Amino acid sequence: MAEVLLAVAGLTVRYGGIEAVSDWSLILHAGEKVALIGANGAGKSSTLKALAGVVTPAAGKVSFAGVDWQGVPAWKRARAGLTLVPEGRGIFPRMSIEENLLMGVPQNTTSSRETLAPVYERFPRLGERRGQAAGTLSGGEQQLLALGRALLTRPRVLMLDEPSMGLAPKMVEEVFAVIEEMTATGVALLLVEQNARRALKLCPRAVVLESGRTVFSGEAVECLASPQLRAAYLGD
Amino acid sequence: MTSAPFARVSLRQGRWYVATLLLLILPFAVEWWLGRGWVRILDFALLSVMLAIGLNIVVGYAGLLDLGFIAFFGVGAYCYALLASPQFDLHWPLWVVLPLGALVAASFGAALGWPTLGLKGDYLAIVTMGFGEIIRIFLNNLNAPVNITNGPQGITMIDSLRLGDWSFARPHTLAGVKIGSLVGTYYLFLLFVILALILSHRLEYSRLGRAWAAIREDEIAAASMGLDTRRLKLLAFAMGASFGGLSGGLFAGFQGFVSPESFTLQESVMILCMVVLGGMGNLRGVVSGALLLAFLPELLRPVGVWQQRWLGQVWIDPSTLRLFLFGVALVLLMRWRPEGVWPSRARAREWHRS
Repeated sequence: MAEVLLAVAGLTVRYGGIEAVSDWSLILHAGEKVALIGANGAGKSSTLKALAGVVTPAAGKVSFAGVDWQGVPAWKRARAGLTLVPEGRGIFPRMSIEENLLMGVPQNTTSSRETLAPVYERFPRLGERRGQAAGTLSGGEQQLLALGRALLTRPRVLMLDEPSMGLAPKMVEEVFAVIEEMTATGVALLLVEQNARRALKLCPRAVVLESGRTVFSGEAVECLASPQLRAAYLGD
Repeated sequence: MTSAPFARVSLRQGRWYVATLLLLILPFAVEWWLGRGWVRILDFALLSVMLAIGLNIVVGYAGLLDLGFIAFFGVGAYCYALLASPQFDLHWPLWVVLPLGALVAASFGAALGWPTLGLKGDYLAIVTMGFGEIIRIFLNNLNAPVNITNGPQGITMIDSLRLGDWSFARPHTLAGVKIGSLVGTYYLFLLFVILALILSHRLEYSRLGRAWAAIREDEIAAASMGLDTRRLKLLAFAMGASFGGLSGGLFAGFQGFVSPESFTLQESVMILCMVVLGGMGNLRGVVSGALLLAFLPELLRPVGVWQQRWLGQVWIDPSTLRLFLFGVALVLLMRWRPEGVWPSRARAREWHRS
């Protein structure tokens, strides 16, 4: 079995009196792909935010590559290799496409602009419009930009929050193709997705959340085979 | 084909030469045309420009609303006043006192930044406003039990600006041209303003400038990209404050007198108006905003005289009128051109995209 990259135990996130994530645990190995599915408000986004360090959890232990991450700020987590692409893509709409991508390049890289070349090659549309404000891109292109930028951070674990939200079906396919490519090289994936069927096609492992708790954890095929889960999350 | 780029370069260079020449002649022209009083106004205007450049780093680049910026100007001014005056009988040279003032102001900037890191928008504005007032009140009351700042009376007889044997408080004759003290000071201040402009411009297009822009747009996304948002915000506060401190030092040396009443909330608001009116984030806009607001009160001064002459008495005090016109100008601007008169491209985008 591969190295344990991310170990979460007893994670609890509270907003005021509301508990969004309750005593949640997960072990993620290097290169593993896990789909996090669940209804609206099940605590998927809160989980990702807490792991990224954007939200401070009320309780729980998170360790990354064997290092305890208690009190480690978001930016250090990002630099250690845990990259979150937040819901709504988190691009900088008024900065140019190129500037957006440069934000993903780790500091102290000598020739930042050269490191963008592979991204422009993979996404010619971004290269053509590199000087343009990122906010002028279509939703799908913005998602591709966010993914391209995330790739530049050289992640070891990629956390994507609803990457297909609000996209046309054709664009959804393209985004998933890109995610597949990105993770083919051994990057672990934690994918939160409304489009559960598509997510389960990509990820061999599934975790189903309900009111901040795991109600199912296992292989994606198992999840697809369960009549209850199909009824609840796949609309059968 | 090949001559076109050359023509453009030389045109641009030509413009630079003309601009430089104009800036060099300007004080003489102003003195000859409008009198010495206006050269003094010009000198003060340059200090305002520097303040606005400093505040622009905080508000324009990093997007942190600071309503207490004048405090850093005060810190710089008092640094100079305490270290180069009979107050403690210290007479440190300019080249020590000025950088020191900038440094102390920068540390005050960081000290303000530290507790406010988690605050945004209105909340940050309120805390910075309080900070500005705290500094002013301290300056006002630090005359007891140990007299440090001399309280509301302020510090007088501050050493004039001088570099080696060259005093900026006296006229000089250089190559047969008589340079008055105010004109000499103009050149000194202009030099600092140009340095500040170059530095600020370099910052804007540096990695640091981009990081500030990212924080301004989306702090969570910026942190997710591995940007240390806390450090970057502190840096913005400190760097902006250092410009304020430098300007304050020059102010103290130029005026020869400082007192707490030069550093009121209204002054902070004024500098913010300069930045906002001109166009946040864009240096050209900020400079023109600062000049505009620095000269406006002087331009309105005759209004009182006219009233006296034509109406027999002064009905509306020109300084009241000034505030009224500011109000009107700001309201009109916010309605039709919220990005400022001369905004940066990015800022204009922010306002005109839904």
